[in-house]
Amino acid sequence: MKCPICKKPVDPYSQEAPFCGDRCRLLDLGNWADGKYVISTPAIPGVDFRVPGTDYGLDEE
Amino acid sequence: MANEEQQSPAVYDSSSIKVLEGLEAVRKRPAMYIGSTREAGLHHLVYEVVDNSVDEALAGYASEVEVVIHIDDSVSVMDNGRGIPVDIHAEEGVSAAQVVLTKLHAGGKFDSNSYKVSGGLHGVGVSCVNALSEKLHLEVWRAPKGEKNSLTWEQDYEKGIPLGPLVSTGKAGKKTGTKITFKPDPTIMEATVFSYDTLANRLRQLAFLNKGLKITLTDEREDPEKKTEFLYNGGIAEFIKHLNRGKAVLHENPIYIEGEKEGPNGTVVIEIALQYNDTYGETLFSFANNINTVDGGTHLSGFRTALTRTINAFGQSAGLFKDVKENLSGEDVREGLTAVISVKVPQPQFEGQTKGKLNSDIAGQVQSIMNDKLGEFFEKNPNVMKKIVSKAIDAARAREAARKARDLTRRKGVLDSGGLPGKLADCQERDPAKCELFIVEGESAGGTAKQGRDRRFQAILPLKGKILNVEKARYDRMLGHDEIRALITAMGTGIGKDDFDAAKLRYHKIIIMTDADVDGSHIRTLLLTFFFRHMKELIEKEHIYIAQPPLYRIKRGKSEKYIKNDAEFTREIMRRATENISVQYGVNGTIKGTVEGGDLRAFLVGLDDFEQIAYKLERRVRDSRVVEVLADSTLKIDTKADFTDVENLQKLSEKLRAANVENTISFEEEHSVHRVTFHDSTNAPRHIDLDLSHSAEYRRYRATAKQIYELNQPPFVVLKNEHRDTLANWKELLDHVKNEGKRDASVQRYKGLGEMNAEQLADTTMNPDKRTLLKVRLEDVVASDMIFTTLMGEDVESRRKFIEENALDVKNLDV
Repeated sequence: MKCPICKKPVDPYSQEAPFCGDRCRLLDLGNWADGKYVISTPAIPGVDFRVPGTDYGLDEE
Repeated sequence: MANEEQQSPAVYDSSSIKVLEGLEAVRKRPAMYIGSTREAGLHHLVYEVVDNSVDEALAGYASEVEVVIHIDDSVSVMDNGRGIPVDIHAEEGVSAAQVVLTKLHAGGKFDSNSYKVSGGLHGVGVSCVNALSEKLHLEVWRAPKGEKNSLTWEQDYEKGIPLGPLVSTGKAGKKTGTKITFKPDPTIMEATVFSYDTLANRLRQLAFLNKGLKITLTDEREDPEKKTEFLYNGGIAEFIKHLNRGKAVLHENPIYIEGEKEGPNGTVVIEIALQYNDTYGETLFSFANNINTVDGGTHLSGFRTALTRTINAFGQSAGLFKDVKENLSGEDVREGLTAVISVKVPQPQFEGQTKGKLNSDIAGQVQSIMNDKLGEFFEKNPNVMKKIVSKAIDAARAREAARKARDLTRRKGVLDSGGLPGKLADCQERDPAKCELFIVEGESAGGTAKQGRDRRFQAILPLKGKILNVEKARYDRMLGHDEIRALITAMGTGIGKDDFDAAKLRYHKIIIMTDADVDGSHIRTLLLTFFFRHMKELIEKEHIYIAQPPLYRIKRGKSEKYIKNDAEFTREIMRRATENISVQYGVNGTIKGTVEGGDLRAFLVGLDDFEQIAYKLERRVRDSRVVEVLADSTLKIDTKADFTDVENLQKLSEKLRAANVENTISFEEEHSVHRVTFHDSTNAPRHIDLDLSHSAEYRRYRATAKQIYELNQPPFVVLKNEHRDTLANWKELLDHVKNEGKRDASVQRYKGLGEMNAEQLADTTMNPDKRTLLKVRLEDVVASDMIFTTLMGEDVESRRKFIEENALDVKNLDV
């Protein structure tokens, strides 16, 4: 398992998991508080789009 | 440094000693003079004596200090300085050495002509040590006035009282220096045993602070005796390395800055060393005239101002602040900093009994040297500068994140008078163990849930999770600030490392109730990931659940049935269809067999699976005829051995040809196997090869084909009462049976919770007597987090791949 923020390896059974430590936990919480986590789907089904780093394209079936 | 000839020796004799007051008070109130009579005070006695020797080194006359702990816990401190003056003091009529050892606040350091700078923690001097020692022996090597060779001088004291005058006892040649041996008085000192480590720490510090000065510590109580030498030609830069040992540093060598500036009472010598490591803390020591100024002071504030200013200036001009809103704060630039600031100030002004804070006005001098020299260093080492600036930017981000996190639990706006979110429909019950919170996506589903709930113990929190983005190209699934805030407030637990408290949870069942579709699963993924990352304890304590709303309603006459998912729907349809039919297979003049009941159902469910997986495989292979052929269970096309044997592959080639698919067999050098190649409708080559045989679609398709192989023998005849329907292949059979199963029934597929009325929602999903809930386990959420991380990832390609590979199971992206 990798820390979602800094990508360092993390022991999945540690109390800190999935984070490597308090710093990354805090940064992640800041991201949630900021509404930074977005999962996107196309408004028009079948239209592929990709904006690197911000969303992903998923063809709805 | 101790070369007497090269110095221009200021006059240091009995006339430079000023007597201030007597020693009686010291033995009465020792703590007032040395802090305490316990361990700290005991060791302080040694420091007082050592400081005199270090002062001699600071003045440039001594290069070595030797400290020895004897077996009776007496201590000797010897230096190779000029030796304490031995001539008779004009005012006192005794030797100057005796004045230094018997009069409080007496000593060369009170005369700025003798020493430019001066240490000594309390400035009480060695007379205090004498007063608090049951025995003290003084030995001085110093030449009488006008002579070249030294004489040895000795004097003994008990409890500060001289047993006789200072007398010359021999010749010492060129040797100069002072040696004081004392044994603390056990009738006054509560602690009498010296700690080697405590002394070693302070002596090491002094050696760092006075580069080139050799300090040795010997413990004669140990057998063999223990001896450590402290000599650091690198000075405080080596101190930094010592402090950062075992830590990952951002840049290999400490930044070292030194310089001199004119201060209020003469030249101030400034020495600064700093280095960043990858931790988030700050390790900082500041010293003024070797005194550890634990409370900082002007030198420290000058350092900090300049550090913050310089890092900001360089970060700004290097264009590193693109996504930083404001300047870096002092707090930001101190993260991971290890620094030592050492100044030597003539006639220093301190604040407080323990000299913890430097008051002399030298902030400007430190600042100006830092600005110049650190700036110069950054210009010459842009890579180090960038690393340091990035580290500080990280710190600024964390500070910003902490602020936002605090905002999440601050009372304002969206909360009602009871401190709860305005859109929460709370329940009447106050015992958390009996309460449930339904987290529902969307206002309309929220409204239905509010009507359908049992308000005595069920609360509803509607969240807005779907937003059409600005380009109107896509829907963004997200939980905004207000949603997260409402969630945390409704749950009552608080958030963050220090504030989260699972015991404050207001509902012991937190139930995520989202639509049973891809969108719903995205919202669920977001919520579960949030819980996993920031409220893991709630999952461990089994407080998080997932509601199971139905996906279908099948209604026939007055009977209604709700179905949770597609698999169950297929089973239900098949069950209904097979109630009163049987199927004959292999009907070709003769009949190979008849199947009905449970076997028929299993066959039909297998066909349904087969149909879905065939569709997935066709997307890869791009030719339905090829897909059909690949279902042939008599073909051996599954293992590497199958693809190694070219004769074996001939069979596949022939069957394809029989299905009108032209193909060729070729050798694949990379894996030493053969492959069959055909062309799709766009005339692009497609391969049936080892690679394809490893894909999930292929493997599942082949496995399912084997399951249904025995009965999949068209044509089929469906018998129902007197009715006979002949069907050419399995696809027709499947469609026919599905229609049979839906006959006379109305089937509704729910696209969302909002399509149900309150009563239906209560009956199927919310009422504890009728619903089923999935309990979220930690393993499930770990998987959810992985999915989330992939979906959030910046690697477009791996994201794409992930989605493609999981497209088969897109409905099962959840737990």
